[in-house]
Amino acid sequence: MKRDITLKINGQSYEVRIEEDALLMDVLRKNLYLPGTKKGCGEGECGACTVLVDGVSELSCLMYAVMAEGKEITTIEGLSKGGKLDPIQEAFVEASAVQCGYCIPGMIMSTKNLLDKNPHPTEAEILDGMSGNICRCTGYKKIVDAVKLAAEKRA
Amino acid sequence: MPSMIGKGVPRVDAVAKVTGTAQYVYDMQFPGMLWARVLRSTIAFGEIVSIDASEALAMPGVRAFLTGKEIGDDLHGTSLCDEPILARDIVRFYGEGIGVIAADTEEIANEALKKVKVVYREMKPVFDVEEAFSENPPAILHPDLRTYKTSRPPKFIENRPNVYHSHRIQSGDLEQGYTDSDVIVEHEWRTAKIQHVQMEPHCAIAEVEANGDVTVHASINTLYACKNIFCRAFNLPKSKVRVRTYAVGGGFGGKQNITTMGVTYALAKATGRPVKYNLTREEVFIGACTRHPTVIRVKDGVKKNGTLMARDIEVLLDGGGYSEFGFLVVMNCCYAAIGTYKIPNFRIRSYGIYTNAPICGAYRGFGNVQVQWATECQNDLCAEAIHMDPMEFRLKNVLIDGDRNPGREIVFNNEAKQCMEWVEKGMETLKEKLERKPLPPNKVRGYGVSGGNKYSMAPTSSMAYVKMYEDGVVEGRIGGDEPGQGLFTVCAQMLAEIFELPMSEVRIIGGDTQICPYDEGSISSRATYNNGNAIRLAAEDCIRQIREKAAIKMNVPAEKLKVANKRVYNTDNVLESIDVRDLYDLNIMATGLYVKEGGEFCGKATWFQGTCKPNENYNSDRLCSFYTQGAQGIAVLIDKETGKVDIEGIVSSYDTGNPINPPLVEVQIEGGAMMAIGSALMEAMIMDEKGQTINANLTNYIIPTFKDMPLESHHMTNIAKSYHPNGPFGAKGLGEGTMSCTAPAIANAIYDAIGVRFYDLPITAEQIMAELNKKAAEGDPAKAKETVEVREPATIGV
Ligand code: FES
Ligand code: FES
Repeated sequence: MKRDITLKINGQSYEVRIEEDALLMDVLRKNLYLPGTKKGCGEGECGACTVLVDGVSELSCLMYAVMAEGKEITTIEGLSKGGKLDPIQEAFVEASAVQCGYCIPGMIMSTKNLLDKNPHPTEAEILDGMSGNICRCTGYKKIVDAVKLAAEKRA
Repeated sequence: MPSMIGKGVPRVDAVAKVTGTAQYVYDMQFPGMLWARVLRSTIAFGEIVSIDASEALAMPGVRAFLTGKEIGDDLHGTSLCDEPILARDIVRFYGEGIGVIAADTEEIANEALKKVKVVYREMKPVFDVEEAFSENPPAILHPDLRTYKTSRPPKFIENRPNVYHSHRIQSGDLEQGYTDSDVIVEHEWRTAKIQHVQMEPHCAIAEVEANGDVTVHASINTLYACKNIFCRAFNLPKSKVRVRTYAVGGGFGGKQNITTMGVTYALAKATGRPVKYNLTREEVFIGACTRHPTVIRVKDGVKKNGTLMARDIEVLLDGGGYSEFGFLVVMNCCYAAIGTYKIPNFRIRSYGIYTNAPICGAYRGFGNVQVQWATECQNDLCAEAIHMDPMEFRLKNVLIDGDRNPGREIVFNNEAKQCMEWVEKGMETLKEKLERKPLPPNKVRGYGVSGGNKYSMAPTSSMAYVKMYEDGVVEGRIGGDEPGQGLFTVCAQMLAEIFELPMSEVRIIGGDTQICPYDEGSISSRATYNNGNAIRLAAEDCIRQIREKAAIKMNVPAEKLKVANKRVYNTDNVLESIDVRDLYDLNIMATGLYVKEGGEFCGKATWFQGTCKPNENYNSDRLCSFYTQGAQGIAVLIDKETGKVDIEGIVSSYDTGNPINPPLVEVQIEGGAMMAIGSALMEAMIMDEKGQTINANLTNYIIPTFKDMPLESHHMTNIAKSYHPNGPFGAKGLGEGTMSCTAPAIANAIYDAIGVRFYDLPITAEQIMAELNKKAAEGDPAKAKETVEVREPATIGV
């Protein structure tokens, strides 16, 4: 069954006609051409598809798009404003926390979720808060550095 | 200008990657594009009797279906052409592609796949590598093996029909070596089948123009190798085919297969529309490529004073259904054993063997990591047998410049000793930190060390173009790949250094065979060394052209001129200089500049790294480009009630030549260690009795997460002081070596903690618990160590 819905993404409204069981991840990537949200597994295991829904991190591969109607969706595309990077994005660049980059949008969204709730996390809290996101390249150490640096920058 | 070499400048692609604007093929869509899905076999070995896709083709939105026979390809391979794009008559592993569908959406294609009916005639498969290796194997996978086309002749083994290639390096006299030894240490070691798990799954989009020109956009880590193999498979002229890559979401050697390119091309040709194929995560496990499981037998002879007198190694590489890059793995894995230690009497023999399992190919180290799993654990056993400290044993036997290694190469730029000494000190610091706090209850701690190396292949070649624009910006074009390691960044740094420009005024273009010159790919840790040298030489050529032009304009001999910061200076009189713009003329409309004579300032170069011809024992003065060297120490904390191993600390030191961008080197070292922790403690693809992989997903195939890393203060990384005389600015390469030390260091640490020696990877919590329970039943104190197997010399292997 197709349905017409309106999604609010990064402060803008989008009207889309989608199947009722379409996943938010697919609607973002395929219907709306917002591929910053990555697909790494499609089964809730890698965190590459992390977005914020009403400020809380969600795996968009496990969420039907219709469930997000009327909510405020933030994707990686919505983080930098007017060509200026968000402090979290800056921190990932400066900490050399990026390699292939495929996990990075999800990492950044999870960092935002973590720091919005807990602006000064301990190292253990960082490991815990980020543990749903997999990176195969970096070995995580420099991503932890980036999260710490982001916390400093936002302070 | 401050030097750009050795600077941790941000990656050139960092901003695109943190803003989600970097382009990956997995994300791309073209107008009118169809989606492909591959039909996969449900048996491990057998004949395809019939495929009926009529019901699928009748579905709305389904545009085409092709069987393996209809793809129209010749068998392909790295050197041995044994692999079809999709199986034709015979299926050789569970999950092998046998047909492909194109539909308007991925969802329709998925539905349509379910409607295809396949009839098989099953044959008895062989899954066990030793059975497959035998003279009378239960199955012969490629009865026509000896008639296949090859581009580099395989070394078959008479009477062993499943061996697709073999290799041997030998020197000295093994028997004499054992006779001269006081102790013989001999064991068998195994590694499991693991997968790269690149975060971006494999994918490709193909387009065919009306005139037959082909463009394939693919997520691959060997641009030209894939193009060449693809052209050969479809008998396409090189000039008609353009292969493009973009940001590649991880490679690790696992994106060198042309399957996605092949099916999308065949469908694009059949439908006249662009066709895209994205692998699912499950397909990445079964339909892409994996790391060879191995059985490795090592026999060492050592003297009481710690001298390693003899080492004989036999490696069985379980290659799966087709040879793919496994052909090179057979050869390359041998170098692992000659790179770090002096061994006067030496032999390594390796065999690539077909089994009815998903294909094994290149995986970060080309077999080197598996071999070092065995040899670096053996080193600990040898040391123990003669009551020597494990690091002292390694340092006693480590190669230093001027030595001859077991391949009889003359050793140079080998900083293994420096790495080991750094790790030895680092481990003292780590111990001191860890032991400040009392051990948690029910936990036991252990420390382990390992050396490690990775050779980089040669002969090999890279090319580059370097062009200066009229605004003074310099662009380098390379055919090398950027799957995340940072190649484009370090090449940009080299250009910035040579032209004395800031990073914002240089750029690297890559990933397009139409506009970038030949390269042999981001494999074998070769990219920085070879692409860097090509960029350096092409930059010199470009500068030569600029100076020659400026010499006329300034009336100063070219050799007295220097190009820096968009100006040309007279080195005899620094006050005399011109803007590079002055080398151009204004066009008639006064809208732009051009070079009146001689064309654009565009340098080009080939970098070629040669070797010395090996003899029949594969000995020569130089067999490769360089060796990355390294050492690592690991602290483990083991829970005696669950068997769970926590990595408490990692101390790493690697010799990668002169580091162009130290943070990029560190992040490679840290990433390689984490990947290796997965291979050591958690990762294994599991097949049921029918050959079906039962954990082809990230729920049941577990890879390391944030939770598996040590605290930052217990994680120390060092880059050794080193300068390779042939490297660009002294640099070597690094990517693969970073996995070489970790698994043995972990096993050695586990042994130190609980006195149990594990011979097979991965070492799971269940196995540790089983061993601890066994010990408890025997009334053995957890710390008691088992005795090392010490035997009279005996011949092993075949
Ligand atoms: S794609 Fe959603 S968790 Fe992996
Ligand atoms: S940077 Fe490649 S997966 Fe994280």
